Amino acid sequence: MAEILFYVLSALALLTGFGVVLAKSPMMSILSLLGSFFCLAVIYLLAGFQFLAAAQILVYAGAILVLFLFVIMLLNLGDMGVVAERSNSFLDSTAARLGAALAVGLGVIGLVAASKAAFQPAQAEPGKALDGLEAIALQLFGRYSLAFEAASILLLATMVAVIALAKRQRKSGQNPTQNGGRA
Amino acid sequence: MNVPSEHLLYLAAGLFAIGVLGFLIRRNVIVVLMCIELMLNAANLTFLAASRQHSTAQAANLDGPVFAIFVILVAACEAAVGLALIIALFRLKQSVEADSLSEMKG
Amino acid sequence: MSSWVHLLSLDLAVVGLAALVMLLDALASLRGRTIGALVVAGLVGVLIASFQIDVTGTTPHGAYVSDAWVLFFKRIFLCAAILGVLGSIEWLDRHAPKRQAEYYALLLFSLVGMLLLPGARDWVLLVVAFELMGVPLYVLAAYAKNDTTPGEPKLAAEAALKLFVTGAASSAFTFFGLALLVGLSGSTSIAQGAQMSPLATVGLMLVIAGFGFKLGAVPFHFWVPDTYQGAPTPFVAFLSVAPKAGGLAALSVILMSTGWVGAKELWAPAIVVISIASMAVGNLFALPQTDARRLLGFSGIAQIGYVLIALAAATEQGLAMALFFIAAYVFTNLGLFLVVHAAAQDMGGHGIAEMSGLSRRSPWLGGALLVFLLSLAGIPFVIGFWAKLFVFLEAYRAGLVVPVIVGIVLAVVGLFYYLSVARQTFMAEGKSDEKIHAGAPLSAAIAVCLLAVVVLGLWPGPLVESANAAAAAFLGGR
Repeated sequence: MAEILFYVLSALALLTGFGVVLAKSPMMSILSLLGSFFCLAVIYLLAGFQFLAAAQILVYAGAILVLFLFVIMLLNLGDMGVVAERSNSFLDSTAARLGAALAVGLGVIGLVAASKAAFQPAQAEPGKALDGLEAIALQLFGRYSLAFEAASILLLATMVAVIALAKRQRKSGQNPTQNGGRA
Repeated sequence: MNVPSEHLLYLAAGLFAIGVLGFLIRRNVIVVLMCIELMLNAANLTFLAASRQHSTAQAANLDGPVFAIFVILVAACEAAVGLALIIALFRLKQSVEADSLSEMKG
Repeated sequence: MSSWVHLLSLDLAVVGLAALVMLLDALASLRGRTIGALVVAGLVGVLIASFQIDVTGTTPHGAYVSDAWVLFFKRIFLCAAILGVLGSIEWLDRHAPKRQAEYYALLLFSLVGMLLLPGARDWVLLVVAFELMGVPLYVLAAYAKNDTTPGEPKLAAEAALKLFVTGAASSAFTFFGLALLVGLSGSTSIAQGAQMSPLATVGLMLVIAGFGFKLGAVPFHFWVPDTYQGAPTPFVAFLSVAPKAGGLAALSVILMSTGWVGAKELWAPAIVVISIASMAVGNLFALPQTDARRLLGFSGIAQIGYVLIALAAATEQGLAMALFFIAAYVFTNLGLFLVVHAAAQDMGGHGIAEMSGLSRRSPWLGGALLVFLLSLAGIPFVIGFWAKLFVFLEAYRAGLVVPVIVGIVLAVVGLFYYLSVARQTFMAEGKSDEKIHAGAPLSAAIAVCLLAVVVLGLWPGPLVESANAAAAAFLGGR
């Protein structure tokens, strides 16, 4: 049962992944991405990663994608599609880009297939969650405590960075509160 | 679930390839950012698949899940900064001129 | 807990400085150049402290190792940050007087990421430090807000977005590659190499690609010229050197650690290819450039090509000379960008044509420009000559004959565009003879760079020795 569910969800995750790339409007892309993330969350759950499944839903779907959605609606991009085109000095024709992407994709998949034996053979299936909260917490505050602290600085830096960007809309001499409503 | 971990890897490789494809062919920066998120998710799935493979019934290998948490953190930071940049650029373009992002060439 | 915190005292001091800057801005609302002066003073204090206090040791679980190698890089980063801040003070006071604190805080956060990089021996810490270095840079590149020049803010936002999109994609590549490597080795310790297999090769190549982006090495160089042109010049002076040194630190930590140095046959050819491509693209594309910033962007790509040859040698001496080269590059390129900035402020643009008559309008700026250009070109008796010579020598000793020959040929091509800029500033008639006014902090920064380039050019011994000691400490303690 779980196996069938896994393959169905995998197919769905890939399909919605294609949806992100192929959708005409950013709105459809974001909804496809949301679907893909949900499928992945269930797959995490099936594979025994309960905490990660929760984090996937809460942080990815709940926070990051909502941020995307918020920006798309704020900029009113629903069907406009071209907020900011990238410079196309690199791989100009669509055909060349498609070819390159396909080559990359096939290469990666082919190599994974070629080295099936590279990973150790699967161990006996543990019955409980592979990522118990307590065990993860012990790791985060033990072995990875330094990275954890660095991550807190990264979050602070991101906060300052985003505020500095938002602040830039203010013309010098303008009342600071004047722009509060726009951001 | 009795699926071999290789199949998780195939799925991850597929998602990563789709992300790369989107990164290369899409020109809307927001969609490009979404494709990058897709690539990061593929990385997460790979971490988890590897961790699953290294776990035994007695001891779970936690490197994968811990790394995945840090990947989610980095993804959140990048999304926040990237979207703020997009908003900043969009406002400038609206107020200056609605031109494509290719002022500089070379 | 208390036994190893002192290993990170320099990093923590910089975090504290960033917090202090933001607090002071919020509480005392400092104006003018006070904050910049404070940041410079604080960073100089940290730099002096790096010579005074003993910070060698290892944290529990071996995630972070502090030794001569780490100190060498930390001093390079601190020097780059001090000079970068000195160069920004006036520009910031003029163009973004109300957002100075954020600029300095972000620069300091990025610096913290760099300081953590060379000592990281755990993949998780390494990538978090790398992101910490990168994320503030994306926003700093967009820092040209109420610029009166038409088009400038837009260029800055575009430059920042380009930097961001390539940066975010490269970190996605890194993470996927890391997932494969960590999955294969079953440990997040960098020293724990994996058995080589096709999958491990893909992982390693993806990781090299991800870190190569910050270096601006060739397949990942698309952002370089555009970002250099669009972002504020004093910031580009910092961007063009410090993150490159960071990228080199990260790449060396990965490739030269026990786990991966054994797989040298695998990664060394890849590095050689990247290096040759960087030298070729950098030098050849620099030739037709008319904007000084774009020219320096391509020249920087070429310089990274030279450094990578030394890394591809995969010997202790090669690594030491890569360190020497990057130290030389930091002072030379930073100084050069600051001269271009100082000149462009008064000469009306960053075009090479606009530089004409610089030597007449300001003999000392013109002279400094000439010295920096000669150093980049590799003319004897300035530091860049020794850097190139040592790098080529060590690569030759390691048997990399073809890349060395290609490098020498392309260095001669490089001579042509470096000297044509020099000719423009010295021979061509300028539009006016008015004196150029560069403020005290900017002049001080240029003077320090000039001094370093000339003194170390005449007397490279001490720097070579400390680079050797750093490489020996890294490879001995691994």
